[in-house]
Amino acid sequence: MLEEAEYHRADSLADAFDVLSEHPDAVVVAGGQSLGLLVKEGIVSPEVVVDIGHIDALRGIERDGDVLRIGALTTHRTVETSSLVAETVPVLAEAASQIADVQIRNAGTMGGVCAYADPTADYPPVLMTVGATVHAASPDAEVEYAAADGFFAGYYESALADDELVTGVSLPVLGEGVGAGFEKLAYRRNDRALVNAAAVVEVDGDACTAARVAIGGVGDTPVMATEAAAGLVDADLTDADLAAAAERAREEVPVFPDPLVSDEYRVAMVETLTRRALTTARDRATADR
Amino acid sequence: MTDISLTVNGIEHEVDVDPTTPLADLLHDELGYKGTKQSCSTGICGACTVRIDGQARKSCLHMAGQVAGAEVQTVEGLETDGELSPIQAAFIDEFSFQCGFCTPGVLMSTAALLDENPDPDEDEIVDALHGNICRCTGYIAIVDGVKEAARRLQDE
Repeated sequence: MLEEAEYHRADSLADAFDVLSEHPDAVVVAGGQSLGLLVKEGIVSPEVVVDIGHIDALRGIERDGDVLRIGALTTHRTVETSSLVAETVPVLAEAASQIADVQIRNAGTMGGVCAYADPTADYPPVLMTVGATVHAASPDAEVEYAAADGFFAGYYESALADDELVTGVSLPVLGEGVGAGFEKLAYRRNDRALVNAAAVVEVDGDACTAARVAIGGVGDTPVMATEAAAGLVDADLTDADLAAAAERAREEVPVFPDPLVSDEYRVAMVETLTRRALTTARDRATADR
Repeated sequence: MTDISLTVNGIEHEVDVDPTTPLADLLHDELGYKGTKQSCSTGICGACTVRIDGQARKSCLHMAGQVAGAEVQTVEGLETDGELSPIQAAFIDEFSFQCGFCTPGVLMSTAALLDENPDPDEDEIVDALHGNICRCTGYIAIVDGVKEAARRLQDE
């Protein structure tokens, strides 16, 4: 797939930074599941490849109090099957299970998804709604980005600086009174999302104290549906409340034209998936009442 | 070109290869494991599925350099001393293939599944084989083959 490209396997972050400083245009590969396709299709023709997939320090899932930390090289399959993720942020495992297929989930990584910033990816709306932080490092510093605040900056473009690599993500553990849902629509199960939606609601007693909704797959980046979410605060979270919020999401989320799917259909699906994700989130947030 | 060592079906290989060569090409063209087929070469079809350190992986989406030091198993590695594995025998008895081009990949996904989950239900089988496309549309027979393979392995 790559004609005589130069290949470097980095054994540490420092190692990777050395190669990148010498070859600023080098392409970084972790799981390689997206890169292989891009190269085969002739979209990317790297001259130098840095393989960071063997930096063991970037792999693994740990809980530290109220925070779940997932290393950049942790595969989707590991996220999907982790009992720790299931206990703390189950919605992330649900999103992971809907990525591509087992073979690709065995190789593809959390850090790769963040850095690649595919607007149809399944993790980003979840990361944005739960309030995740993306951790990165440069040769000189460690950097943190709020997933919901501009990290997914444009069409296949993250906010990472040229000399930064994703080292992991951290997510708040979803405690009592917090519920999250994820919904995805694809032509064939687990294909790229035509639309995906994630929602989080927080309740205190009978009142909704906070809500967040993010929609992916319909534009250059996943976006927060802030109006839809704002309308839920202090609401009783009845089915009608959720339906009204979903309608607001449909109105506020811009849907870019896609040659393969009609705009009307995707606009309608923004509403439907938002309503379903919110319903799951509400039911989970209020499960103990 | 770079010297890379990897183990395929228990045999250690040292090859001088462009480290960005897809593993699928390395196996098929350089090392002679002709059972590993490529159809799309873009990670969609799953025909090239092999096991890397036990996991089902698409060999067209792994560069040779990425698998240096790894243990790879191809469809040739399923048999023991010329005897087909119970999975292969079950696929024959259940007519789980027509043209056979996707079969090596399906068998490797099945082998990985049954090692991890010896008694999968139908949903688990379908999930494990989601990344293996059969254009003869023989999925029902394939699922039957996996179920029969699971029974035989459990009876062993």
